[in-house]
Amino acid sequence: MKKLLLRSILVIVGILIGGAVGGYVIFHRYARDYALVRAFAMAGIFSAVSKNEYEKNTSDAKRELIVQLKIWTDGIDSSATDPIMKNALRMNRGLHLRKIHP
Amino acid sequence: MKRIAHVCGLLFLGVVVGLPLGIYIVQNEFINKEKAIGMVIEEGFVDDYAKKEFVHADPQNARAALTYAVGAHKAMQGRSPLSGWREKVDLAWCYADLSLVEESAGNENLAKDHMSQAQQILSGLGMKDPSEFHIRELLRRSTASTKSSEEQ
Repeated sequence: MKKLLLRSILVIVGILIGGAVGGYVIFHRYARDYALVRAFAMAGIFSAVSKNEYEKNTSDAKRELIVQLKIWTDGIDSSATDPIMKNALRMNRGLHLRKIHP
Repeated sequence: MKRIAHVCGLLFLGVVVGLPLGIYIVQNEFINKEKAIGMVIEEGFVDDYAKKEFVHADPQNARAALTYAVGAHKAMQGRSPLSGWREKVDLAWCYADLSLVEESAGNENLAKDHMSQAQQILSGLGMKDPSEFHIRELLRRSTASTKSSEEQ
């Protein structure tokens, strides 16, 4: 009985290690190949949170908006970003900066 | 020695089972969802920029942005769980906008190609009148409403 339990524990530990390694490898590949898509997802999440905070009239709205602008600035500075996307990021950053410094 | 080999064998068995399981969970529970959100936002972002460029600034930038948006739509098709009816409509309007840009640049053939793509998509989605005249009329109204909403 004890032997069976130990064997099961070993297999479960192996599954956990395998799962962690598999998850890490696939996530690493995704993060490398889809950096821009990830940045947009993050910026979108921060934008939604910022709007929600703004409606609640809390001071966090500005902080979230600044994080979103930081993500866009990183996109502008990145050499991997398409030139037309850089222009779109610049325009939107300018429009959003007006919200912070009207 | 035999015991160590036995322990390693069991661990290896677990790793072999766990590896695809980890890949599947991370891919489906996290990556696919984040990728879908990111692609929709990316497309919307560049599409919005294209509209602003078309109305207020440089049609050449609008053309490049619309081409980028069409590419983003194509990348989404079949891959993104968020790619559905709305994205197809959006793609059709991208083609229609692109057609106007090409027409203003004097590229008649390209303009016709893009317009026919837009018509094909819209009729496939069940639009009652996907004629060029109707699409142009809708584009004119949408451009006018974009202008007035931005002026406000």
